[in-house]
Amino acid sequence: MIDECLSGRTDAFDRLVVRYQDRLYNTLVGVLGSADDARDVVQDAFVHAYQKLDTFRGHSAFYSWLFRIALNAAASRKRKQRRPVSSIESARGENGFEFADPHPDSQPSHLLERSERQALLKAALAELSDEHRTVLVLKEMEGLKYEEIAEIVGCPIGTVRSRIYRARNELRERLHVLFQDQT
Amino acid sequence: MSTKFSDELLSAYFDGETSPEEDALVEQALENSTELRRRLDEVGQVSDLLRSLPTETAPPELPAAVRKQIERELLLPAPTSAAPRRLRMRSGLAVACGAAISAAAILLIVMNGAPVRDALPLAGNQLQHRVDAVEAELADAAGSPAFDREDAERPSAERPPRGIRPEGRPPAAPALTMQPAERPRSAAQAESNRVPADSVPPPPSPSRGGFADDVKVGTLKPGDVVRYLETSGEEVTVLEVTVIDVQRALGALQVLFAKNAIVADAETAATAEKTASRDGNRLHAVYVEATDDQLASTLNEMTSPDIFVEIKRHSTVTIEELQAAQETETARRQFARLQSRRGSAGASRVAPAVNDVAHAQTKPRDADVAADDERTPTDSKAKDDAQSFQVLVTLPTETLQESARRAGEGRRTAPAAKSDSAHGPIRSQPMIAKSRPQLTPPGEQQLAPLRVVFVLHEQQ
Repeated sequence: MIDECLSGRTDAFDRLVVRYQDRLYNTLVGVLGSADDARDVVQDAFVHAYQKLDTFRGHSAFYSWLFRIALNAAASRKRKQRRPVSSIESARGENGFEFADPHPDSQPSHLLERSERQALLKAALAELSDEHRTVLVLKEMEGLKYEEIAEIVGCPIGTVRSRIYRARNELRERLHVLFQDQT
Repeated sequence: MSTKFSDELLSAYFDGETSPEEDALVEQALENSTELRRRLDEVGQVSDLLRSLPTETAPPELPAAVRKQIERELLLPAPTSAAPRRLRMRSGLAVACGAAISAAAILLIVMNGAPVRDALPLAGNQLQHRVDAVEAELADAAGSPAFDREDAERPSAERPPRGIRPEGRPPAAPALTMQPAERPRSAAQAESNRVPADSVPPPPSPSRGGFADDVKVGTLKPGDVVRYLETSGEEVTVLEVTVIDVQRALGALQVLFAKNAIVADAETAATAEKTASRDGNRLHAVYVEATDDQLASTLNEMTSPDIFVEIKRHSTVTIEELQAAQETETARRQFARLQSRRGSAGASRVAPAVNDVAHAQTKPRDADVAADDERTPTDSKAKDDAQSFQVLVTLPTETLQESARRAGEGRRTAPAAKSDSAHGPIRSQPMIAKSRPQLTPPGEQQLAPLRVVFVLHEQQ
């Protein structure tokens, strides 16, 4: 399909977009924490990919290459547009529930509805550093191997392993209420 | 290598990213520690939570948005942007450096909110250079009966294929043979003959016809199929298109150009994009190469009603008016040069002032054109130049046998433009040809490329 794109068949690139857009968009929603930002970054990423398509050598998976472009686009966008980061506190306010007292007795599990848990999880994810959040999303939501993640983010595998561990640890601490609820 | 146990190792173990040695170490530790098993369980819980998030689906309009942005960036590239070279070359979107490739050119002028006669001059040096270069060519052509063009004499087999220029190879400037002593030039003309070193005027190409006599452009209705209007490669043909949105129209046209392997001068477009008139109107100019079938196919596919509203022939334009639009001025001069060389009394005529430069041997042909002569310029310079010229419009056609036959016969004089169509809309809705025109019937001689001006402005 890439060869077809390079041969001038614009419909081939359309097919590339259709094939990868959902996957890329879903991951970027996790990484960026915003559907609007994800949409814009995905669009920019595909445009940049189109412009650089002849530089793709096929040494890596196309998606890895595409996602690397998307990460760069996201970083560029973030530099230009500093937006307030959502937090667990804001998520609590938005969802109208409190976790001031995490004691199981006063925190019935039924209060933690699915959507609330998801909102809390997203907020906790957003509070991670960009580096930690990115590798964790790529691992958990994309199911990529450390080697693939290392290629995308451009760092050694050992660094990926360390970041994933730290990201999990940090997320677990931020979500201790959820764990208590689940237990 | 000895490995020490750590929580990081536990996380990697969960992911299956540990070596056999590390696996053994972790499993041994897990057997001996309830706490470790609890922490491993927590890793799993975090993982489950993340995987429980709903899968987001890209907005359905995303592919269209991507395509639109690509089109826009291809058409109006940022100075630092770089489209894939192979892709651009193969899709016929190679940037033409100047309009000096051997084939004909389409000059695309996009105005934002006003017709071309109300537009103000472009400020880009490149455009000015182009105008200067054309002016120089006009004077050269006028003063040189021995005018010759190397490219015209070169056998077609020696010419590079149209639409694709070898990468890195600059467009060849036309070789003009002239007799300096025979050039009658005024001081103003001599001044206009300054040809910047980096400016390469569009090369002339063989004359190949003009309007079909029986086409009344102003009376055409949506769905009409008209005969293809042959034009000379020297001519610059103007097509004025009313659009809903200039950017969308540019994008759509660029797609059509790419689809039909028409080479666009995106650099010029970028230059034009940066220029703005005093009243905020903008001019865009894109030179593209086009053969007859490429152009016809492009026109045939301008069928999106939400993009293209109307096409009408660009009416007779005075120099006074044209002074407000250098790109059109370029077209006028190129056209005048054609007339001077061809010496035809065709539909398009050249103003006396231009004739003075170009030695055109044309005369007014109808009342419409004559009426244009009565327009009074507002200043002395404009008064000197205040003459009209007629531009040509090309349209797709279904029946081209006659024009092809005429093209096969070689030169012919341009037929008269219809006076009743000077300002008339060709269509109020997108024109939809009944069938894709076969501009060059199989077995017929391949017509020379076209040079056309598209003028676009937004619907008010």
